[in-house]
Amino acid sequence: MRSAKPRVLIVDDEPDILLMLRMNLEAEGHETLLAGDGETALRRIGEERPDVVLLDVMMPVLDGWGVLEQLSLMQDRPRVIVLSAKSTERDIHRAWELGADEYVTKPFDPDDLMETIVRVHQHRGNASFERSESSSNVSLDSATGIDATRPASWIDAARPRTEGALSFEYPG
Amino acid sequence: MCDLDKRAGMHHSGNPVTDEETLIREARAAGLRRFKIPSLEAIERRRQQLWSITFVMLVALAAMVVVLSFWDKALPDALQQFGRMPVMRVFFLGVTTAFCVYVIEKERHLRKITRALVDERVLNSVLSNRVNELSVLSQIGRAINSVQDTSSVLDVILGSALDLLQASEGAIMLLDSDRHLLSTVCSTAPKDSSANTIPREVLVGEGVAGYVAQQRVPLLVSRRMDPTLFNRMVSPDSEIESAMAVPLVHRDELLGVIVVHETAGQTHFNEYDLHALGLLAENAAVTVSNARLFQAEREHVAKLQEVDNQRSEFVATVSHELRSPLTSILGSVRTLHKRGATMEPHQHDELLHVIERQSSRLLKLIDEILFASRIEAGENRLVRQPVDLVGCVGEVVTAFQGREHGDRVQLLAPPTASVTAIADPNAVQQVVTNLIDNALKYSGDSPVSVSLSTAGMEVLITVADRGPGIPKDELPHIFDRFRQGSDGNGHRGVGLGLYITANLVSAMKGRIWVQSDVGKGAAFTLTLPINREESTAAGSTAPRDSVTSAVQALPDEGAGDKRS
Repeated sequence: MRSAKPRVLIVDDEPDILLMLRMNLEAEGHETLLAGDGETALRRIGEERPDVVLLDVMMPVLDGWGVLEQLSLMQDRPRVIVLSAKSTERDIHRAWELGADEYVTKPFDPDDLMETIVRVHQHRGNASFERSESSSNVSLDSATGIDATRPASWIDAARPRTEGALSFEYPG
Repeated sequence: MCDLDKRAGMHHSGNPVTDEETLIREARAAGLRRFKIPSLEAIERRRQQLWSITFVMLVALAAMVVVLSFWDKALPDALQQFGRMPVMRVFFLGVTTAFCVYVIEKERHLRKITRALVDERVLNSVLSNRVNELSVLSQIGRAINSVQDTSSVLDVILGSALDLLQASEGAIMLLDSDRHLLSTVCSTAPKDSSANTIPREVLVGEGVAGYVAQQRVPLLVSRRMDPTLFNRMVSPDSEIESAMAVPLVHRDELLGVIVVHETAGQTHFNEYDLHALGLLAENAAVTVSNARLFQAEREHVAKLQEVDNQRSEFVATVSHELRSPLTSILGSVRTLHKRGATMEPHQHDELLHVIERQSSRLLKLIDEILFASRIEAGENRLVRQPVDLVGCVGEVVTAFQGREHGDRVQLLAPPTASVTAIADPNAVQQVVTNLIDNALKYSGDSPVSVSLSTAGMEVLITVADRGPGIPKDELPHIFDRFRQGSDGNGHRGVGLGLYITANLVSAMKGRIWVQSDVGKGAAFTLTLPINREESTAAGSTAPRDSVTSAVQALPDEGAGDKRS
């Protein structure tokens, strides 16, 4: 069981968003790390092993997609919540394919994001808990021990029109 | 069909085409019973037969007359007596006459039949020509319907014309009314061959094709048939033996000319060939006209689609661009709502600053969109007055230094004398602000330098950074509307900043260009017309980093190299 308060790395090239998010996360008692571009983010992930990464997509030097690609090569990678101003199905699908755990469209309510962070973190920390709590169609990936089912918001919000195809597209 | 009759009648005027029954009757009368419809060969054989009999008869008669006249003493008495009888003489005369009548009658029928058969052959050949023409026309029709590419259809038409007319070379030339000449769009002649008699371009009025284009009438010239006309139209050392050209006219508009040449000298064109070429020309004219309409329509649709794509891309970009500041604003407002009470005062202030900053960013975005639409509507009014650029640009740089990242901006080499341009001061500030903004946004943490210099009758303002530079394929489009930085580095604006900048600069009668080395940075340079009175009084300024110093009227070499 992981600690209840995850360490969160915020990656965004907008200083004001970094500021606003840090304020919220610290008020909730999270430990926060900041990065202004993808390369810094990868470095800090490697060095400081955050639990959850809040990842912007449109960034200089290395964008969010690049970060996700690099992360997919990592052994013990953190959970990733993509924060993006783009809301097209194509972008959401791409994030999902690159292994993101959540996709949040800007603008968002910081409160909701706090909840999502906690949920995503626990999801990883205790898969059996998540499975018993969820409906019966949840499957457990035997190779990784990670629940292959996406959080409900993937189905409800992010991929509203491909719900039926989800089971087909799941990895593993 | 009237045309066909005319052609058939040409050879035997006034003689209607003989029907089959008449032919058979004539054949019977001529003694050709074995054939339903006799061939010319059978008739010939019959004629030979007739002449052979006639010959034998005449020889026999002659022999008889000679014997009776000179050697009747040698004959037996009875025969002598018999030969001297007047009745017998009359009888011989009668037989001979009857035979002659018979032969002449047969010959008359044979002639009739021959004539009818010759008619038939001519008719057949006319018909087969006609069938050829029709099949060529239907081939062309198919080509017009199946291929939408003009040049392929014209190729088919020209190829058919050459086949039908057995011409050696040909071309379809289209009229360029601006330059008053005909240019070959489709030709059968090999391009590199020296024997090529098809010119690439001819002036209207020049040569066979030119004459036809000018007079809008078909023309046929032949070295053998009409040497005078031929020599007037075709240069004497040309290999052409005969040539035809027909104008391509559609709805009273001359589109071009179809021209064919005959160089081998085996078949000379005649008026029927000219007529056939005319038929092909009608099709070619329709094809060209349709293709032009189709092309114009296609271009129009493509343009509309492009505009439409740009618009929807723009809407997507704008909505995306609005989301970023809104995220900060809404996030801050909600944070203040929820945690305002427990917050430290400096945190409170920070969030209020975020809201303020992002709100002005939204405002700027909206201003840019409005500005760009004003530019497009042509409602942008600029003043033209002497502007002290050192002060004007200096103000912009100072304003930046108060802002975030502003310490990266340096004003290089402030000239000792003032640099004055004829411009709109607000527009100059906006342009420089846009360029600095742009440089800060795309150059990472590298310094951004702003420099002023003069060259000839122009003032140069350069904003340079040492960032990643601009990819080569994006350089030509960098000043286009709605054109944004590459997807790769994630940095995108609405794509209006440089578009507005370029428009403002050209509205001030200046120029703008960009020079970029990937990995080494980018430099935007703009020029403004110098204020002459000021510049001659103060002399030119000597910028520290410029290749030009103390230049008055020299061409701006440094700037010329930079133009991308």
